[in-house]
Amino acid sequence: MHYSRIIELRSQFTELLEEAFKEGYTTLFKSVETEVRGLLSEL
Amino acid sequence: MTDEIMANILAASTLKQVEEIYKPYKSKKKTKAMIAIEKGFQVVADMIKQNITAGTIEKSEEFQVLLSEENTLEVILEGSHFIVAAEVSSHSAMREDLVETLKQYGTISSKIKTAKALEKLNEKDTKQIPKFDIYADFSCPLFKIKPYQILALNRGENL
Repeated sequence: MHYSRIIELRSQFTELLEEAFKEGYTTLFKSVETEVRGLLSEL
Repeated sequence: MTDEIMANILAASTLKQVEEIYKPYKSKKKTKAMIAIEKGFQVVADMIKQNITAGTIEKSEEFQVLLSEENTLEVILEGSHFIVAAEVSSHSAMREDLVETLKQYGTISSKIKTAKALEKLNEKDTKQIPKFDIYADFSCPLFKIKPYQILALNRGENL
C-alpha cells in the first residue's frame, strides 16, 4: 500500500466534524437569538 | 382521489377550507439530515463522532454495506455531516444553557445602519432617524434592558 494512503487511512474525519459542529452551532445560535428576542419582546 | 374528498373540495368556499382538506396528505419537508438517517448513515456519523480513524470506518462492515454506486464515500460523508450538524443544532440541554447564559451575561447592542441602507429609507422613516440617536452606538447587558428600550430597538431595526 502506498505510504500516503496509509497516512490517509490513519487520519480522522476531524475537518468534517469541525464543519458539522460549526454549522450546527450557527443554526443553534440563530435559533436561540430568535428565542431571546421573543423573550425580550414579552418584557 | 376519493369521491368524498372531491365533494369536500367542491363544497369548500375558501382557500383555507381547501388547505384543511389537503393538510393530512401534505408531505412534510424532509431535512438533509433526515434523508441521511433514512439512508442508514447514522452509524457512520456515530463512528465519526467517536473519532474512529478514517481507515477503520472505511473498512468496517457497517460502512461497506452502505457503499453503492449511489452512496459513494463522499455522499456518505456529506450525509454524516448533516446528521452531526442537526444533532448539534437541536441539542436541548445546550440550548437551555445558552439561553440562560445569554440572559445572565449577554449584551444587546446596536449600531446605526450603513449610509447605503439609510439612503434607501423613505422620507417618513428618514425623519424618524434623530429619534433613535442614542441607539446609534448602544450597548446594554440583557438583564438591565428596559421594555421601552426594546421597543425603540425593534422600531429602529424595522425602519
